[in-house]
Amino acid sequence: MKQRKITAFRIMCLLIAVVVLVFLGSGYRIIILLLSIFSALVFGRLWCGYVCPLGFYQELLSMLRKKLHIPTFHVSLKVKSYLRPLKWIILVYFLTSVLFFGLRPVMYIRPDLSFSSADMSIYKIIIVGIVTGICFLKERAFCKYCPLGTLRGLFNKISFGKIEKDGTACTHCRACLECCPMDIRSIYEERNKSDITHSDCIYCMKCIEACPEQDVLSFTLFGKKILSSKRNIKQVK
Amino acid sequence: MEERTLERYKRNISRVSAGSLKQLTSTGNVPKGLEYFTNVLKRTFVDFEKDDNEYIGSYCVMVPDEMIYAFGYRPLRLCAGHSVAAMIGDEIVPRDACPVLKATAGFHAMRVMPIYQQCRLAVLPMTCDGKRKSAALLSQYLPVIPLPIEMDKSEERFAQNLQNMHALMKSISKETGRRFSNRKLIESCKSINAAQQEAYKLYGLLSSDNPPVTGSQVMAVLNSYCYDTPESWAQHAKILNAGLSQKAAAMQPLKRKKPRIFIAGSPITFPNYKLPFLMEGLGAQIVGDETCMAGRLLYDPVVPDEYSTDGILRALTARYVCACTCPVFEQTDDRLSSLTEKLRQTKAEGVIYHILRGCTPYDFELSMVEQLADKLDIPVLRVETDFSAEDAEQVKIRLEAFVELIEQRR
Ligand code: SF4
Ligand code: SF4
Ligand code: SF4
Ligand code: SF4
Repeated sequence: MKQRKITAFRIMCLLIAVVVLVFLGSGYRIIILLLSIFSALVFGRLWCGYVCPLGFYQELLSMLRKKLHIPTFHVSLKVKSYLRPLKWIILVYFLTSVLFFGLRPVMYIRPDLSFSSADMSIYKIIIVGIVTGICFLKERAFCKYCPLGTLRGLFNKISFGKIEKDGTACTHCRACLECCPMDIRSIYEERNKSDITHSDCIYCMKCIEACPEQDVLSFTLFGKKILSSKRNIKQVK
Repeated sequence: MEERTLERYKRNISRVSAGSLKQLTSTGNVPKGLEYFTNVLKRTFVDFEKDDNEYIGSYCVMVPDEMIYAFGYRPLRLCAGHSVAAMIGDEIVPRDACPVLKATAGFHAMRVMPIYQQCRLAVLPMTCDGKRKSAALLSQYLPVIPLPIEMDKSEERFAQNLQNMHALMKSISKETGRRFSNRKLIESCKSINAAQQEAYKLYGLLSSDNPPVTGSQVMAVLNSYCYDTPESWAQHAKILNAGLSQKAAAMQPLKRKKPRIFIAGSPITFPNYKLPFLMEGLGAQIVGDETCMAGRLLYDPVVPDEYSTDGILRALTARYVCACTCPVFEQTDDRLSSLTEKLRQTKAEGVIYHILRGCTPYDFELSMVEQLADKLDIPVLRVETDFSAEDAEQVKIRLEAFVELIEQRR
């Protein structure tokens, strides 16, 4: 019901990134790798929200689901707490495989990589199908456990991009949490800290778009306010 | 009830309501477009007009109007503020219960207001003890669906509240035999949203440095929303806002600024505008309020992430329960922060803490609000009263002293 200008811009970025990565990708692997590392060091998980093709794929799935008015699948708090260690387990598995065995296990769980590789075994197709299904029902479900995302997330705390909050003016209306694809509870609950950048945050700015209170949530880059929440409620299409 | 007594009550109700309406429009400063809203109230409370809508009654602010519209009914806020009805309700509910309950029960028992008779059923949220217990009393008059509300705002309880909303939808469907439609739900979200946008502008105009409208007028405009459709209300509120903005631009700054008063506490419902009228009579400007029938009625918007029925119900639960600052919840920080913010925005110089006799939840939180106001260096005056005009003189004397205090502090 609100304007989604930032999201529109972000989808554009993702689209351009996909085109660039697919057409130029193979020749410029090293450059892309360096860029990705640099961006992680400086902007944390920003890459996830604006570049990663798998993130884009998941967003397209969610967009389709929302168009069809199929409800989001919400995991209960208990299940969530059981799933919490999973992302670390996957990260350790990923790192050991890459560092010690030269394997790229991520190929098997990332649909984009699997699709682009030549040999499609039944095993792969099933995995891709399951991941796609889960990501269709839950926005950015894969991102919650993605090892690359977890790695970048470690740099969110020192990132130059920050999500900030004016706690007293927050009405606890929950709009931000409901829209957050990464289910970050602290953006909604926090009242005392002003820097609320979470290590899971992909800087999608959906919380800022959703928040109906003037200037309560904002995004700052190098300490300068770039975006902030507004009460500009637009009609539903 | 005897025919003659009933007639007398009817006349009295009309008279009291007409009196309040007259006072609203007698300030010599009647904004263009206000008449539509006073007419809505007049139709309901003075002329007792019948219409052919079917209503679903509700209490408090936790029952989503959107849901009621989605079933093709019109919502009707049953919380009443009428002194005559409260007098009659005195015999139905306990003496120490709050006058809102008395008046509501009174209206049901008297059967004078046609819209109360047009209620197909009532959805009563289990909020304060009085409302909880009065559900059984009201079930003598019409079918009642109780809506349990978790009084703990934690994440665990959110899931429960959401389930309660789903269950409410099923209960309404079972009771009325009507199917609910997702399309209508989206439409009602849309029109209520439009009304809220206008309400937000109106709140802004009232809290401006030199408001072009009085607090009681704004309260009446907002209150009339309960007896109108959101579409029509929004359309006329737009006209009112446009007129007020124009007027504000043309207004000369006052030489002597009026004392700016914020009203906190128990609900103030038409026609019981005793407190705002007295304040305004003493030359004060009401710049805002946190009552559930005015300042909070149309404040928080519904922001769904997706428009499936579950998605909208989540957003409704978030807006109607999580953002709610009623004193019945365990956590008080939401109310205190929202008060802090509102006092800052409205640049209030004094807080009138209104307590309806018998409304303990608000009275319990008084000390916390006093502490907060102390920190902000704003004086607070607790006024305990009910709907009758008997104590008007006494209240006036206290308010007078308070206004004087504010002027001295400048
Ligand atoms: S978390 Fe992983 S899959 Fe998701 S956007 Fe980031 S890198 Fe891509
Ligand atoms: S916290 Fe805000 S910016 Fe970060 S992922 Fe959630 S919605 Fe996006
Ligand atoms: S959307 Fe804004 S006002 Fe609402 S809970 Fe989140 S930060 Fe607070
Ligand atoms: S303040 Fe009291 S009467 Fe008003 S909505 Fe809340 S619980 Fe109900």
